[in-house]
Amino acid sequence: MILVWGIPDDGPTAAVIDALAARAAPLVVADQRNVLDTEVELAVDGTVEGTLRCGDTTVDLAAVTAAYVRPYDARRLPTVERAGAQSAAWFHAVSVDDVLISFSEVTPAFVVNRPSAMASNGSKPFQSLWIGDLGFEVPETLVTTDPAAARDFWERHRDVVYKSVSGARSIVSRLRPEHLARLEHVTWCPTQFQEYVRGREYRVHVVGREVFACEIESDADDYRYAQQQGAEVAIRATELPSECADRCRKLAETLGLALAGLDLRQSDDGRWYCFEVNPSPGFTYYETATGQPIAAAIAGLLTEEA
Amino acid sequence: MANRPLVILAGTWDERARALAERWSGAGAVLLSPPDLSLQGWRLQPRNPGAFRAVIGARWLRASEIGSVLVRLPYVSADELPHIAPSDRAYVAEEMTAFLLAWLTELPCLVVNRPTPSCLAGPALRDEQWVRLASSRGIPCRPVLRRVRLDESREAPRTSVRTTVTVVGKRQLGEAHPSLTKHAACLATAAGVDVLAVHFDGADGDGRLVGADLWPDVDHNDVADNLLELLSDDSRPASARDLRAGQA
Repeated sequence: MILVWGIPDDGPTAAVIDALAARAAPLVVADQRNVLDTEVELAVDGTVEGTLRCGDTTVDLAAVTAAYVRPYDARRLPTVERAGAQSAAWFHAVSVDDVLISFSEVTPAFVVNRPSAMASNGSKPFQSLWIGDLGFEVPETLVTTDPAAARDFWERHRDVVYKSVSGARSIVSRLRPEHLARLEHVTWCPTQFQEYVRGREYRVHVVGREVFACEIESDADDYRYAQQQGAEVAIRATELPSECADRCRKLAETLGLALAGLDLRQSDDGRWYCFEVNPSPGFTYYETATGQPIAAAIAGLLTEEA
Repeated sequence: MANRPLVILAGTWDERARALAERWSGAGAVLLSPPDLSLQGWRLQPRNPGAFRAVIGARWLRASEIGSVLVRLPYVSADELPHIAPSDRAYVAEEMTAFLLAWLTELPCLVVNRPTPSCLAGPALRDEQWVRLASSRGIPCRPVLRRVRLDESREAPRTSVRTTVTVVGKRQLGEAHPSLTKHAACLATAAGVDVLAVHFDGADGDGRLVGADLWPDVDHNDVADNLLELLSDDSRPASARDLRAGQA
C-alpha cells in the first residue's frame, strides 16, 4: 500500500497521485484538508503499527510499504486558522501533523522523503558543507552582522548576491551600489552574501537513480521571479555530463533524499556549482516545460520499493 | 572572563542556564542568547572556520578562542526577539537558527551536543523515535502508543518515568541497575550525542526504556559538575562534523 499525505490539489502531489493511479498502484490518500476529521493511532516498539482514519478512508499503517509525504503546516489550513490558535481544533491539527511526521520517521516503509532528511535545507550554509564535500563548487559566502565585512566582501567580488540563510523563500537579489547605504541594517540579523557566479543555469531532479536535467535561460537574477522582474524564462531538457550526473545522485543519496531538486550553474570556465538541494521540489513547473516524466519516475520508485 | 570561554547558548529566560553560568563563572562560563546575534561583528564563512568571528560577552572572538559550547537552545523563537519589528520576528528567528546551525556545526571546539538540522541541541527525537532506535540496538523498550482522536482535544499524557540515567560523556549518572546504565550509554552512542537523559519505567534490571531527551537536569550537582568536567576537558578531541546519527 502506498500512502500519499498532503493536499491533493497541490501540483506535485496531484501529479504523483495521477502517476500512481496510471499504474493502478494500491494507493491511499490522506488529505490534509480533512485534518479535523482525521484520527491516528501509532504503536512503536520493535515494530510500527497503527491506524490512520482520514474522512472515510482507513489505513492499516503496518501495511504501508511506501509513502510520498508533502504536507503543509496544518495550522495554516483555512478551517484551522478560522478556529484560532490554541483552540481544540488547532491542537488536534498540530497533533495529527506531529504523529504523522513521527510515522514518516519510524516506519520501515520507503518514504519520499523522511522529514529529518529534508531538514538540511533549513540552513543554506549548513547544507553547502555537504555540497562541497561531494565535489561541487560552492560560491564564496559570507554570513554576517558586520557592515564592514559585508562592504569588504562586495569590494572584493564586486558582483554579489544576497539571499536568505534559512529555507524561507527569498528572492535572490544583486547587491547594487544603491544598497550599500543600507548595509548597516545587517547588524540586526545575520545576512548571507555570495559571490555571483556567471554561467548557465540548471535545475536537476534526482529520483532514485534517475536524473532529469533542464537548462534555464533567463536574464532575471532569480528566474523563479522572472515575470515579476519583467524578464523571460526558457527551460529545456538537457543531459548532464556523466560525472556531474553521478555527483548529483551521490549528493541526494548522502543527504538521505530519494527525491531532490538541485540548483546548479556551470560557470563560464566550466566548473559546476551547486547552490541548493531542495528536498520537496515543485517539479511540476519543470515537467510541464520539458515533458520530463518526473512524476512517473517518482511513482515508479514508490511502486518498486513497495 | 577566562581566555577561552565556556559558552552556554540558551534562551533569554532559561533560568537554569543563568544558574549554570553563575556556578561556572570561575571556569569562564558566559551566556549567549538570541538577541546577541543582533550585535555587530558576527562573521561566518562556510568551510573556513578560521574566518569565523563571534560576539560573546561583549568580546569579538575567533573560533579558536572559544573553549567549548553547551547548547541549551533548540531553535530561536520569535519571542526571543522583542528588539525586532513584530512583522519581521518570525523571519529573523529562522535566519538566526539557520546561522547557528552552520556555526555550531563547524566550530572546532567541543560542542555539546552537536546540532542537527532539526534541533540546535542535537537529535530532538520523539519518544517513538528513541524507542525505535533503542530497539534496533537490542535495548528493551516499553511500546509507545500515540493516539489522536476527535473526542479528545489533546493527546493523553505519556507513560510516567520512574528512573532517569543521565549520560555525560563517558559517565552515566543516576541510581539505576548497571544494565540500565549500559543501555543509556549505548543509546547515547547510537544517537551520536555526548549528553542525554534516558528514561526507564523502573530502576531494576527489568526496567524498559520509555524515551530520552537532550535536557539533563542541571539542577543536580552531579550532573552540573560532570558537565563542567566534560566541557573543560581540553584533551578531548572535538566532535567532527558528521552526517551520521540524527543529522541529514
